[in-house]
Amino acid sequence: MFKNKDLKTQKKLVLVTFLFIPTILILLFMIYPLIKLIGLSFTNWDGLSPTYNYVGLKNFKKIIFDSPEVWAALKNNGMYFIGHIIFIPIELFLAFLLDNRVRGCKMFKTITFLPYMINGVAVACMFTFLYSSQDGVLNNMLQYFHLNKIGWLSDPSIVNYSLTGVSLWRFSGVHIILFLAAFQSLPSDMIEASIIDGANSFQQFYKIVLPNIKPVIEIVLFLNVRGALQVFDIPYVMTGGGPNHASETFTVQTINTAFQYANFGRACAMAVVLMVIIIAFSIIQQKLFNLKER
Amino acid sequence: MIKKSLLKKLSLVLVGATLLGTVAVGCSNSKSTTADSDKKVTLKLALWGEGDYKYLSETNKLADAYKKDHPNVTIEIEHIAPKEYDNTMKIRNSANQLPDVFPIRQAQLSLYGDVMVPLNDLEATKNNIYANETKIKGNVIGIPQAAFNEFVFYNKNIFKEYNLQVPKTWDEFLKVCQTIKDGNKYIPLLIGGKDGWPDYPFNEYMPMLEAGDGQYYNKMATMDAPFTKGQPFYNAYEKIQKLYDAKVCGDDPLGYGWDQERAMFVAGKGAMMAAGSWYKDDYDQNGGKDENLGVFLLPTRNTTSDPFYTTAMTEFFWGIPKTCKNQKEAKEFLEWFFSSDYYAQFVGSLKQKPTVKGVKYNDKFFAQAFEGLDVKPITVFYDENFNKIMNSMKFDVKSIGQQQMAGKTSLDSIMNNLNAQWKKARSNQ
Repeated sequence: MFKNKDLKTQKKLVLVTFLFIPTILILLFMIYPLIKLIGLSFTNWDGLSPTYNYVGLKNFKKIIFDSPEVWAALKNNGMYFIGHIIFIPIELFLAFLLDNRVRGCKMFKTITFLPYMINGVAVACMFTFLYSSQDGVLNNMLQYFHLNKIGWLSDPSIVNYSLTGVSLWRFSGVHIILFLAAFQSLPSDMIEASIIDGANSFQQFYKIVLPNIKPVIEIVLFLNVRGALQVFDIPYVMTGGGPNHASETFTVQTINTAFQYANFGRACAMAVVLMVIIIAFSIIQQKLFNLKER
Repeated sequence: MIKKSLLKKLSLVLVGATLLGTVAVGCSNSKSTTADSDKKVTLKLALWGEGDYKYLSETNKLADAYKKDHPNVTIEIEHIAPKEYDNTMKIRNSANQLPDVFPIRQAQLSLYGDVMVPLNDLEATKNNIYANETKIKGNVIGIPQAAFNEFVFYNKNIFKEYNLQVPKTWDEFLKVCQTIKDGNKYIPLLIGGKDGWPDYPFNEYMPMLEAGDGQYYNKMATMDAPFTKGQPFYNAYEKIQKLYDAKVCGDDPLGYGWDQERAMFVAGKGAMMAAGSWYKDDYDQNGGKDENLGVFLLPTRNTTSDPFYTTAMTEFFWGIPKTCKNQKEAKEFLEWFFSSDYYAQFVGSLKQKPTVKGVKYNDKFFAQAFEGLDVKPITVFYDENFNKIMNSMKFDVKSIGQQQMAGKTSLDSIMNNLNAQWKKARSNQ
């Protein structure tokens, strides 16, 4: 049956057969929940009752104009964002070094990528123990040097820095590997030509390598925006958003709004707002990035 | 040539069969509908109590005990971690996949008003001391399994070391804490501030104890500015602020959570911790020695001539969701559960205070806390009105406790802020 059709139809048949299941899965687990989410964001559903009412834009108005706690949470997200942005040049430099410029770079590459492979909750539990004020490693080290203990996770003014540190530990590795892959995909004759023309290391890096890995840097910047705005497992497991909401991020607050305060409608609206913020930020970031190049 | 085409056809048939099989398995999970009472029925239960689950599934199997009287019913019990239980039940509710019989936490009870089957006419409800006190929308939607009192558990050895007596007023309690702190060896009061909820005996219950009314929060819901100076809530929080300012909960109370709190108590690093009677079972399970454990009721009164209030809370409200396909069998189960010897053995083994009339509470351990005191118990309950305001303004007393522990905001500014938010939340209702 299959053999008797012409090549074009055969190709179409193969494509449809193979794409059928992934398409169904995406429709079922991504598109349908997304439509339902947007629909629920206009209601006042409490998550339990079988009925709910449509309230129009009330949820959105409340989130944008009448929720200081939401803006405080976004500030905490901002800290993750800035922390990662500051680290991008360092990651670029480390990737540059790992590109066969130091001895044992293969081993270092594996070590750099290891943190990303560990499950996020396990990382959070590990660092909770590290930061613990009762029997934590960091505080024991400080006491060894006769310094005062620091409330890494209990001091509201430094808890976000501690958590950003965990996020950097976890995700720097994958950024470094992405940059490294980009470096290694560069044609070597361009760099050789620049060496012949008398360019030093820094000039090579800034004028030849960087412009050619622009697409990868754009991807990393987008991952950064999305990751910083969506960060959930680290604050949720390590501090639960505490102490007293000091380390609460936007997604932790969304979950609490849905489950602790029985307001699914508003939580869905928060998820929609987050989506819009991520898209807006990415567009602005891309425009700024391309502007710099011109 | 023929071999190749045969192989191809065979592999196609195998792949097709596998795909069909996957689809078929996914579709075959429909629950069986009951037609007659002799048909085999499976009742699914879920619960969060670790001690309860161990007893029901291992020590004295509930499934076996029930099968003796109802041979056609099989009981399956599922344990869900306490932290995740409430969320899990909410998610299952939206998927219409709630278990047939499950307990609801008292704090969540008002949310389930439209979800559960009314149990007003059951014998189990009529024989329950507390079931009718916690009606939602006029219906009993859950029958409470146990009643809890709040206590302060203390390390007898440490009290002996410092020659301390059980405190009977708030100032005496503060003095006990200060004496132990001055000794510089033990943490006077363990509080697990990192997790937030362990401060509930103070930040959640003390306003009720100050007002002498377990439904005080419901009264607050009818007031415009319940956080004003002179009101029970403010007075209670003033006392609590004094406690936290005395720094008797360790050098970093926000740095350790519940797990570390109970580990430190069992290890003898802390002198006291406040928890409900449910904690005793946990203490025993984690290697605590009974002869070293003492218990007293938290004294929040100002002088010995003031009344001594203590909270009583009912918990584990067993109910049946409207979506249950075996409601008749589920109701029969509840009737059996609350009237049989099994219930008496169950709560007796877990040292829980029973809620069923006629079941004796023979625990000598907690009786010592009531000796020599004219204790007035107040039953804790939150109504729908209060819950609406609480959700609307995200009123979280345990979080305010964390703020007080951090000591960076003045009590007056916290209270003024609460008044403003409360007024707004009330006007939005």
